[in-house]
Amino acid sequence: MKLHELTINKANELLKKKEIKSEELTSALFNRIDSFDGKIKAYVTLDKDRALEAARLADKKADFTQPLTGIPMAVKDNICTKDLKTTCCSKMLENFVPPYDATVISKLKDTNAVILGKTNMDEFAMGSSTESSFFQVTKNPWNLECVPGGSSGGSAAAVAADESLYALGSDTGGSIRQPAAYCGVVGLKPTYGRVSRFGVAALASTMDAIGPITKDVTDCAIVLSAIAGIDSFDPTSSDIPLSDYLKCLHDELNGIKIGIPKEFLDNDVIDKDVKDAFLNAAKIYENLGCICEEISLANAEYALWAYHITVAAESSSELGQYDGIRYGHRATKYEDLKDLYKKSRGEGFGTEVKRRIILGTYLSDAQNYDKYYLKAQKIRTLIKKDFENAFNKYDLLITPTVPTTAFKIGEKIDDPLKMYMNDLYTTPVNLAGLPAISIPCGFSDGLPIGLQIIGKAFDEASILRAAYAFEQNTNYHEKRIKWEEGFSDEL
Amino acid sequence: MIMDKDTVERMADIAHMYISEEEKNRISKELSFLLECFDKLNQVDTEGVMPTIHPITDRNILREDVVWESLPIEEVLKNSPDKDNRFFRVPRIIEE
Repeated sequence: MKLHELTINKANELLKKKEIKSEELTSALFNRIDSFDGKIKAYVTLDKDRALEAARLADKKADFTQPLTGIPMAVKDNICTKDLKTTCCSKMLENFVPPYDATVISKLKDTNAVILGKTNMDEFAMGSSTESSFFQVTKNPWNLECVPGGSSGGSAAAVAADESLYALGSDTGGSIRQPAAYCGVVGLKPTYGRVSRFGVAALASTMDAIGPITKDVTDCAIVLSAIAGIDSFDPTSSDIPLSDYLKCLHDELNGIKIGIPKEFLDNDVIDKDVKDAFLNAAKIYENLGCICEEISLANAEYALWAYHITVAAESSSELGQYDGIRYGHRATKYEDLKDLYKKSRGEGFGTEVKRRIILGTYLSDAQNYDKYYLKAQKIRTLIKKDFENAFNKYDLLITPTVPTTAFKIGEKIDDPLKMYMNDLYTTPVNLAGLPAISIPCGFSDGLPIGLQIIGKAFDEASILRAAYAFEQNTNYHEKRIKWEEGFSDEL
Repeated sequence: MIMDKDTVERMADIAHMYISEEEKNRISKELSFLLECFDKLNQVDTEGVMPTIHPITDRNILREDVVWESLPIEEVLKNSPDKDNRFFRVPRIIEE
């Protein structure tokens, strides 16, 4: 096996046995990035010198009891990294260098993790394809004509193309799970409050979650264990104790009750191949001794619109902080303070961001507040109740992650409705604050299909256990990308 | 529900943000469509339903007011496009 193909778990074993060095592993990853990322365009910033320095430090200490020590990884570019550019892939923050680390980054640095660089994303995480990035369009490693999904598209593509052992992403309406599904990797959106949001540029403060994108479920459990937990800098982070996410992987699955929301299968947006792969996955769970039954999430069909109202209203408020004064883009010529604001924001934000700010401003207007935002929050209560009712009877819910496989670059960016439909199965989960994972469960025309497993609040352990059992009984996660001619997998 | 170009411009002004004529056209078209989608929510009876203010927590989070070291001023000012000594520089805001 080549070094860049290693999982965290395997690399940690080799580091412990002194069969490889972190510096060697990190250099192998940079070689991989050098030869592949020109086409994939997963990274927007690389941090080679400091990464190699961190790797050498890990080698010198030679204590690999913490599984992430010396392991190269990538960070979505909306997560603050001290002294390393963090742009949210916007012109607004093109040159922003954070003076501090996000809590998740401090936690990783405490374990001597090796940060390779920052990954591409939709501008301010607004999108489902990574096409709205100010810098570049990331390609799906499985088919370079297709999008990697979004908004954490760079993170998912980097892991899928073996340009990083794992990556961090953020998920407000599916932005970890959908790109993980499109790129055939594992992506976990933890419960709201399980992982600190401190130092992460907010999209919608009542829904944002930070989580891992990894090559398999074991690695996902490893990263979650390292980044989860209460943080005094994030008052919405939870003090509910963490589980032993690695130990729980091996717990018995027999007798687990799984609900399948029928609304997610009986509609006209789901692809036949996705539906077939999903039904096959349900069968695998039945064979493992689980009880799978159809359930109803009656208000799920309204979730998508309640989500878009919530995210527009909250993000337009969040993005008020970008004023060209304290940090970010400032226009060069202006007449007065208001003109400075208007020009700086007009020049700094892309059209998609402006569209959402205008919508959010409109929805938050005193005349419209009750009709839209308040109504959406009431529907949110109904959606939460639907989930609560389901979880009174079932341990887990399973759905496809996305109704389709990855679409072609440019195909949907001019058709917002089609783009919205991508988030049909993921947004209800964010409205309710629940944890959910996407794992590979099949292929259609060479493109990966994702299975979403949703759990009770703070019960990531059950999700991981079910995901692990699925992985042990299938080999979708092991399938390698067949690179096109002249684009060799050999180093 | 239609969001006409004048409304788009008014909202952009409230949000302190210039938008081009082309953006105005596009945004007006896209948001008019989206507002129609939102009307679907009127089908849901929410009489007597409490809004969700926060997805998980239902209590205030309080902490002791403790003093700790903050970032050095030069670090805080590092990213400002225009600064002077210990201050952010802005255009004159008080009219003569």
